[in-house]
Amino acid sequence: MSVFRIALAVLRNDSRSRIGTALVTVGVALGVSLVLWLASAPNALQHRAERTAWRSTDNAVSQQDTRALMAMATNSDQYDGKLIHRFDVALTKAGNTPTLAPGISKVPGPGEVLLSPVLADLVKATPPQLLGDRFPGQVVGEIGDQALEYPDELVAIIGHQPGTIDGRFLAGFGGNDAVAQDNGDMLYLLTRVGMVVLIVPCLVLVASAARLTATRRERRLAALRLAGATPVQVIAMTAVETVIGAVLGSVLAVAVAQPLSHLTAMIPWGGGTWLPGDFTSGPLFVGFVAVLAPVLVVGAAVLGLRRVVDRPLMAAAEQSRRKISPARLLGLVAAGGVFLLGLSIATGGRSDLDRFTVVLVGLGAVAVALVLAGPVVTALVGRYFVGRWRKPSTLLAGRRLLGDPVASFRAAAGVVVAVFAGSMALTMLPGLEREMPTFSGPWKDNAIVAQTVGQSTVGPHTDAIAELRAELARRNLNAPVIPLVGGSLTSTSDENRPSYEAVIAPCKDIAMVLSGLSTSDCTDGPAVYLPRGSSDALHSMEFRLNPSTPTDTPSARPLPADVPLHKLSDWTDMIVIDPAVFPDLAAKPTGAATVTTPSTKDAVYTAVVRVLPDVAVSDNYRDIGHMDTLMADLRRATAIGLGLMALLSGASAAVAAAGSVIDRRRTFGALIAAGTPVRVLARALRREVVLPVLVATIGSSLAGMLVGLGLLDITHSISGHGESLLSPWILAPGVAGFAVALAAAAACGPVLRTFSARDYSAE
Amino acid sequence: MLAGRGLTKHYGGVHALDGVDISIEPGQVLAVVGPSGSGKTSLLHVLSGILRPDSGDVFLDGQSVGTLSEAARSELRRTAFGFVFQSGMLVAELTAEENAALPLLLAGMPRQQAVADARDWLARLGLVGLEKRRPGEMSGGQAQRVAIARALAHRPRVIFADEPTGALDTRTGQDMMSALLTSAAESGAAVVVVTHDAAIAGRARRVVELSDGRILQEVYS
Repeated sequence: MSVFRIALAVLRNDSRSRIGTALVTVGVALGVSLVLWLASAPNALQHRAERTAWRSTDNAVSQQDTRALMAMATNSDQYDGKLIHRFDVALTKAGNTPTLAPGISKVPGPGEVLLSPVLADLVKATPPQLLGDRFPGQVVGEIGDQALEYPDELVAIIGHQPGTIDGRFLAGFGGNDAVAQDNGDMLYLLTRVGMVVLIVPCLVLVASAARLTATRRERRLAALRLAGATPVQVIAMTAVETVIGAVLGSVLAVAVAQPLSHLTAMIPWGGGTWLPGDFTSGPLFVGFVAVLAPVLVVGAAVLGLRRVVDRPLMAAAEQSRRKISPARLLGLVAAGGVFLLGLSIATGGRSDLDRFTVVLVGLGAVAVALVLAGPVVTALVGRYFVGRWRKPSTLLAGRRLLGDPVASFRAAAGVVVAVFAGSMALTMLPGLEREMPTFSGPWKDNAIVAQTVGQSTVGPHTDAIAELRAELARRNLNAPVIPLVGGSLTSTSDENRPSYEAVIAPCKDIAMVLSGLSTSDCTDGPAVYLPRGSSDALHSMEFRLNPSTPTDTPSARPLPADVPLHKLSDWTDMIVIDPAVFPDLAAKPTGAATVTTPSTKDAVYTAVVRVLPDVAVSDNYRDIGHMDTLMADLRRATAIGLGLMALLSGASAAVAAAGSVIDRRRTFGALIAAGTPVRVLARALRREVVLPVLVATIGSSLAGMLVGLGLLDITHSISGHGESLLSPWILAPGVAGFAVALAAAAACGPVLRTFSARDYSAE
Repeated sequence: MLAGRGLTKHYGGVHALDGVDISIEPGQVLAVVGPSGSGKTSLLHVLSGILRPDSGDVFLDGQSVGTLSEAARSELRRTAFGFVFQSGMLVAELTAEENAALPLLLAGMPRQQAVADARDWLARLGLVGLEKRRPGEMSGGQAQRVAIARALAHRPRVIFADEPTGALDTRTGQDMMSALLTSAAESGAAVVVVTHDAAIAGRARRVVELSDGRILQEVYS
């Protein structure tokens, strides 16, 4: 009988081998699916970046350049808390034909508008004074999916008369490099972290499944070795037994990869979902992973045969005992070192994505080191209980933990990694959330601030403030408009030239919209209002207008030495200068703040955008909305990741616990025959699973917190946000891990109840 | 003391026991012999309450065992009976003294007393100095002596031994059997031993030979 036939016969006739093979199939399928899914995230980001590359103005040219066929102003609006991307375009000369991008059928001419499908629906369903008026003209087409970041994105391209838009000059919509955007780094980091921490429970599940029948298989193969089978034949038999489940799992994962990618595309990130094809990987990569997984699983199974191959007699007699070296604990130190090295590289200012590689290796090393250190901790726990037992169940559990810590820890391994990852995530999240309020910016929530009014060298807006007031009046909106001049106060004496943001505006007016300033702070006459805690050494300071273009050289005006300084009782983001200090500058406002109420906000927004379509507008709700989206993304990613981990670790713990019971079927059968109550054995088994988890979760929680604090450092370097803040929720993963382990331990009960007193004499 | 009346047990169409009547007196040593498949182990399982007979009943001191619940039969096995299996079937992770103390602990005896009693039995069985060894660190004969200590530690009324010397060489098997019989005699326990080995069976005062689930003959010596 060939090796292959013997292996098949074993599968055909042994139900436990079939269960083991099925579980290997499930484990490998889950592992390969997760790798394919998480590895496709950068591709998805790249797809988004490619679709939105037409919005980039990186290839802008000067107005005089022959390639300057159109001008485009890029701004963001919001309606009802939803972000709207608007692009105001105008040909530099009638008859120009700028290049187009996929999904954009034409450059809209004057009086023409292109809207994304969801925005078009929203415009139709909303009174025009609240939304539609922001896009004057006839809707001549829709922006296709190929030009949208995500299907539900709100985007408008509004055409204007040549020469009326103050924007960047371009040859058209296309031709820009697709660069993944800001939050891409965050998603990249999250998916890589997810891959590292999710793969370990997958491996534990596969290993646990493979171990289900390992003892039985070891005895069978040892018997075959003793009967004359060569090591190669024994190895081949094991490879065949394992490869069937592993290949089935791999094929299953590849088969469901596409439907799964469509499911993944429904998970929102960055404000919207994805297109169905975004989460796809190249066929070469898919093939590589699909082949690698079975090879690794078979390799691990073959490596586990060393004892049978080298010492079949010992394997047959089950007399060997694995020693656990405390040196395994040194792995934690080494892994911590790699992680710290990775942190220093990742936060060192390198901008390429490779900067995460070492930190991810470190993260994986910490996870692996925890799993390696687990048996040492298990043995210590066992030693503790062996010294202090009072009941037979504690003695049985303690001796098992001390006698075979590797097998005992197997059930806990996945839970330990899950607790590690959960603690890491919950260390990071509150820190990121804490930073939220600082994103509110300098203005109060009721303010809509047009920042570059009156600086345009093009367009018909000779007096934008007056036009805006007239438009608001025409729409019967009672919304005061406050002219202001934006700039900075910069030291001329200090060699570091410190600079503070400043605004020239009447104190009592600007107090209506500037955070931290109230009308009671204001005095009559020329004055400078400084935020609480700032230095009042404003000698040798000069006021500089904000540059209207990046190449502008701002003109400077020294601050009069005798101007009175008023220290405010609160913090403001900018220094307020009374117009009387610089009356000539105040006469030419560069911005306009409009005061709104919650009920007039959208209508006022519409009026502002209608009059000043190419002017950048500041709005707290929009900026906070952006951060809300980011936090929701992080929470969702954390919840999905932790849910998957709990599922995988629970499954692997249950399989490992059940496997450990099956391994000792004959011994338990003998104990039951001798009258040992099953409940005593079940209690001992539960303790076997739960006791190591109890101790190991404390260690993995601590490791998770430390690693989370390190990763928070990286997110700080990516987004500028993320301070550490530990909350009681940090204990949740440990508690949840313990509960999962308890549930998994309960799996021992049903397996144990399938045993009978006669099983002592079973094969 | 222990009696089986009209015991039958079927596995599919196979008659493992076919109307067996048997009784065991206190302190009696009974060997059950017969070819493979004759029903020896089934008889041991039925008498010890591991299996319920299809018909007939087992009585201990006149009390029916067959009508007891599973839990009550477990308790009976734990308190009134002791077991010695082939290869010992000791708990691999426990030391010799812990294995021997296990029935006492399960009966609720405090740790120190249980371990002391177990040590005493190990000493009687010539295992002084091996108390802290695990089964994997002992020879087959030594492991079987620990199994005997475990079977006797709680002073059972009947010891059931299923092929206790099956994994031992002849000399060690005889030594082990001597230890079992001596220790059982000291504690007044009856012994029911199932064996293929005629030499082992020859150590019993009474030998019952089974064939096809029936008692073929009984021999007293």
